[in-house]
Amino acid sequence: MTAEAHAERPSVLRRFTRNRRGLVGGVVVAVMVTAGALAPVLAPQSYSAQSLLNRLKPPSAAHWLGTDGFGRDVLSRVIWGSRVSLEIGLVATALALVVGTVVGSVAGYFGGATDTAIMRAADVFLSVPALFLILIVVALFGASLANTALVIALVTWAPVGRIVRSECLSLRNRDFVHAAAALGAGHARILGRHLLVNALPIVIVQASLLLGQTILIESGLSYLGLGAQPPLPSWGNMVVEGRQFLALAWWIATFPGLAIFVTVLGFNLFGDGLRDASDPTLRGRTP
Amino acid sequence: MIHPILIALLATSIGLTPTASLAAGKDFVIGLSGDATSLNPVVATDGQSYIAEWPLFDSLVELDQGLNVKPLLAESWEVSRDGLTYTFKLKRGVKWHDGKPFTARDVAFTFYSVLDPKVTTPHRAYFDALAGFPELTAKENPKRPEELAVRPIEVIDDHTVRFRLRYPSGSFLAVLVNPRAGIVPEHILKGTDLNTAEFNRRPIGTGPFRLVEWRRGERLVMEANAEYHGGRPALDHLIFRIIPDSVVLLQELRAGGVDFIENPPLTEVARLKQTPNLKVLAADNTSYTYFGWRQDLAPFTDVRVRRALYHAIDVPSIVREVLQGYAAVATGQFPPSSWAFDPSVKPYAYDPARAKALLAEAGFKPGPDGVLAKDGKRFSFSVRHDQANQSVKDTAVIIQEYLKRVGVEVQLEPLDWPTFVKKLFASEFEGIVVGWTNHHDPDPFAYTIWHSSQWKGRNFAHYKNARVDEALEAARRTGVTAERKKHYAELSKLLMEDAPYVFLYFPQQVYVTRAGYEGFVPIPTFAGIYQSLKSVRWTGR
Amino acid sequence: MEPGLRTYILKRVGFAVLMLVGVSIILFTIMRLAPGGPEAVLIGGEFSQEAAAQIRQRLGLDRPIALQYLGWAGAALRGDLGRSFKTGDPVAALIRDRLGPTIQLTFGALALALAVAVPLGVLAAVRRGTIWDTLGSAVALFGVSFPSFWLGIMLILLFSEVFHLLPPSGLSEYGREGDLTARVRHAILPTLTLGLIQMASFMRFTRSSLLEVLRQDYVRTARAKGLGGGQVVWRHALRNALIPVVTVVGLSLPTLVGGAVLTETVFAWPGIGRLAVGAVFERDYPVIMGVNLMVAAVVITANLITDLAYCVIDPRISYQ
Repeated sequence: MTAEAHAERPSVLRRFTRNRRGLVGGVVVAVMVTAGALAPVLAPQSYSAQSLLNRLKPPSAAHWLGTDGFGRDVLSRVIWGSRVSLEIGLVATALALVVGTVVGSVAGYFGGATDTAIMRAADVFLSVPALFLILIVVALFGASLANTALVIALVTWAPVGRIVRSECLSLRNRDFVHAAAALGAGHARILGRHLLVNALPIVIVQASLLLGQTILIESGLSYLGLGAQPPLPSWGNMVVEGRQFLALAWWIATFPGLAIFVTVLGFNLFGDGLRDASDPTLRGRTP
Repeated sequence: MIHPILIALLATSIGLTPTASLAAGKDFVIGLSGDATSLNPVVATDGQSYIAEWPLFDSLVELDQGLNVKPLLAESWEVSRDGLTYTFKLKRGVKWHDGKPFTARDVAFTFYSVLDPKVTTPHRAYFDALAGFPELTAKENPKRPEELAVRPIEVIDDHTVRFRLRYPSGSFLAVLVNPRAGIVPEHILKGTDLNTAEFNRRPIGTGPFRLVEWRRGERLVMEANAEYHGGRPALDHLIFRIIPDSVVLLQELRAGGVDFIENPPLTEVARLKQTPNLKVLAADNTSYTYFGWRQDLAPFTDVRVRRALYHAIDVPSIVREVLQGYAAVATGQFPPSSWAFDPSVKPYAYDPARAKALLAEAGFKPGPDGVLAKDGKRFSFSVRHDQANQSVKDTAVIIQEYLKRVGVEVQLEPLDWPTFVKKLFASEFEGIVVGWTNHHDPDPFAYTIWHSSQWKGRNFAHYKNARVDEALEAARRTGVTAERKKHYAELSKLLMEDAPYVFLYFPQQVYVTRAGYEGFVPIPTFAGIYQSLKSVRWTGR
Repeated sequence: MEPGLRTYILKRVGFAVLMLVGVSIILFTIMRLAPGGPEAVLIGGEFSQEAAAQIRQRLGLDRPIALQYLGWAGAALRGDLGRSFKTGDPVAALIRDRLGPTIQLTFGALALALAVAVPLGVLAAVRRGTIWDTLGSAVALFGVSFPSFWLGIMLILLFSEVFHLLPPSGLSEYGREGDLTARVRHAILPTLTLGLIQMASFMRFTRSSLLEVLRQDYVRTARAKGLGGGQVVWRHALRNALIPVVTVVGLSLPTLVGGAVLTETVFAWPGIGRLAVGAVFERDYPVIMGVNLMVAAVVITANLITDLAYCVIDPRISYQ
């Protein structure tokens, strides 16, 4: 780690902790991730255990958030749902970030024809509406968690690539990069040790915003019947299943809906907070 | 002083009351979840198209509520003593929607088109009994009707047409009914490619309604045919609105934008029944939903295993809770509305202990993870089903849980319909949850599902039982209903003994309509209620 | 026009065409690599392997994939997008019929989003750090944190079931197509649902763009010269701040059209989005290709225009 990157860290952290909204977002995100990670321990019951005699029961001591149309415990399913929803989000985001960062930094660092070629390729992916492409791939290849995550990554790497590229473009003419080059550092080393480390904050911001988006995309796919498949609960398919019971059993759709809302909001606040902290002038620059 | 914006708001709010149909009581709005794809009864393959075609096209004969055949375009008919010739006298003075007269040539044209291998139609196999069927439908060098020594369909005069069969068939009249056998006009379709004809979008029929407008994905509008041979229908317009989301469809029904819907979410039905201006109608159906598997794969080859699966699933509770009672527990191939139904056949009772015992008997022992295993192989298999069908989806999820309780592991694999159907007919599956929509005559489906010669067709589960084959063949060879009934009863008993499927339930078709519309006749066949649109009328509240 | 600019424009147009080709190749490859095919849908209940082979032959699906692509692309160049496998309709006609409702919906949503987001963004920037700023971001964030189909259904419940104010779905009523009030009433809920998706990003962008401009020297100079706050914002700053907002509007097109897939399904809106959903489920290849190509062409053209407009408006941008 370079001295420069080191020097920047405490101030980012301090600025972030002073940002109340960002902090709230961070806490929400942390809670949801923990719930997902510890789902087997936290969930009072299995997410798939049914009891047809106990269907559509309102919240009670035995079932804090009630039961669904199969008599399954809604609380357990919401907890497990955080795992499924976040799993898709994390895999997709990680893939998109890796591809986007590598491609974007290479384009930004080398510039010229490499840059043009790569960025035009990214434009191709940006010009088909994301949901159209996702729909085609998931509908034609089958609705599995892996497919969903892959295809979300396929359509989200391009914006990440663009942002990383512009960050690298502005960084590559900074003194410390020139100095490293003068000291005989190779391309890979400069890219990895200097440019990427400095572009990291903005990449993390992107990750946070992307995670929120993927949860929404998954719920949209669930609505079209292409999201996580039963009995696996995702917040998206729980809302979709529950919406037909709205008049009879409001709790089935409301709680996972609330979970989506709070989590997506959390990721957005967290991302915004991070962005403000890493560079106050950047706030709101990326869609 | 009142603010001008407020006035504007007030003014618009007057227009903001929910609007009734154009002419209350004279227009009838039917909500459909998807659009029709073709309005040509010869080539259409999907339920929505069948529904939309029904008011547009008449068939030679139609069914009544007791599934008896009644005249429609045919005034009367005679069957020869050997059961091989059917001669129909057609109604006189019937006109196509374009004013041209309807004649026997249209009938011949329609069914020769169904037999023509160049035409992609789902109905061809129903006409297997027609003379010359193998020659006309051959894959290589099919013959044309003129080249045959005996014409299967002969135009005697403008109002008489004769069908010749190669074997007596008790089900022949039954295949001539809507929605699969609407008559199409020769004068428009002759010489065109029926698969892609413009006619499929602008159909001309002889039915009680004619098509006025078809806005893809939005609505179909039909108006009463004043010249209809059965008398002008009471309604002025039929409007089919396409609304894909079932919850929104229900909202439209409540808000007054739609007067009739099919298959409401069953959990909502109790509430709908209490809504004062709505009425719930239920009709028997010819279909059944089942849980099946590949008969030739171990361990399903062991009858004890098959019976254990039957004992493991509490079907009555599925019927009660998920289908809210709008279904009957299935006991085999034939629904209670069919004359082939045998009430003496009883399904295996829900008895998980018995299921476990049978599985133990078959050599299965609980493994370390709670899943049964035999010779080191876990009893775990995949169950494929249609991802779009809500009740099938729910049923599959419930079955998975019931089987888990007896130590059998199931992975659900929901597939989109095209892929699913392809895998079915290619026998690429272990378990399946799916339904069969029977013809109201027992033969067309029973034979193709269970006869061992049909492994490349509907018997994709690869069932084989010599005694079942015998019963099916015997039933096919006779035209006498009492005889057929006996053979089908034998079939039902053999099937229950063998437990090749878990026959789950016979679902009813449920409809909700606005109170005040009367005259629906729920004929117990697929979408049968739509036949009565010509008699539906507004009676006021 | 200076030569640099002309070269840039030519290059940019060339890229646009190349991108369109790229899109079509990607789509074609994805579709044909997928398992399953349209035969099952077309044959329905009487499916058999023989019939399937026959259908594949009729549709030309038995030819090598490269040949299929070239055949399709050649026809597309002549303006012929083929016929729907499922219904036999010319794809171009299907798209034409569905284009109107989608344009109405997306542009309505765009206008609504801008009408709400720009003033909110300005307010948030001018009153930075106050309750207005917080409120503005809250509204914006609220809108993007809901699944849009859920929002749509809730709006229907509220405005149709509870208050009986607006019709739940559809474009208009039979026999009342000419009635503008009826059409507007049908359009309110879907437009609102789709518009909310875009509001947040417009609002944030207006805010940050305006903040940036406000920090710049000429604004400070104007302030130093004693011009009032409102005047500075409206006369000087906002005009410059809105230039980048125009770009974002161009870039938001794919999101809007993508969002229309869900909105149109919820509200039974007979547009392009639902055409695409139906075609995908039925493996209606010509329709999938046609719709996506058309949408990509619109997006690429819109981006081209914004790019070109941008470099004409703002001379500071260098074009290489």
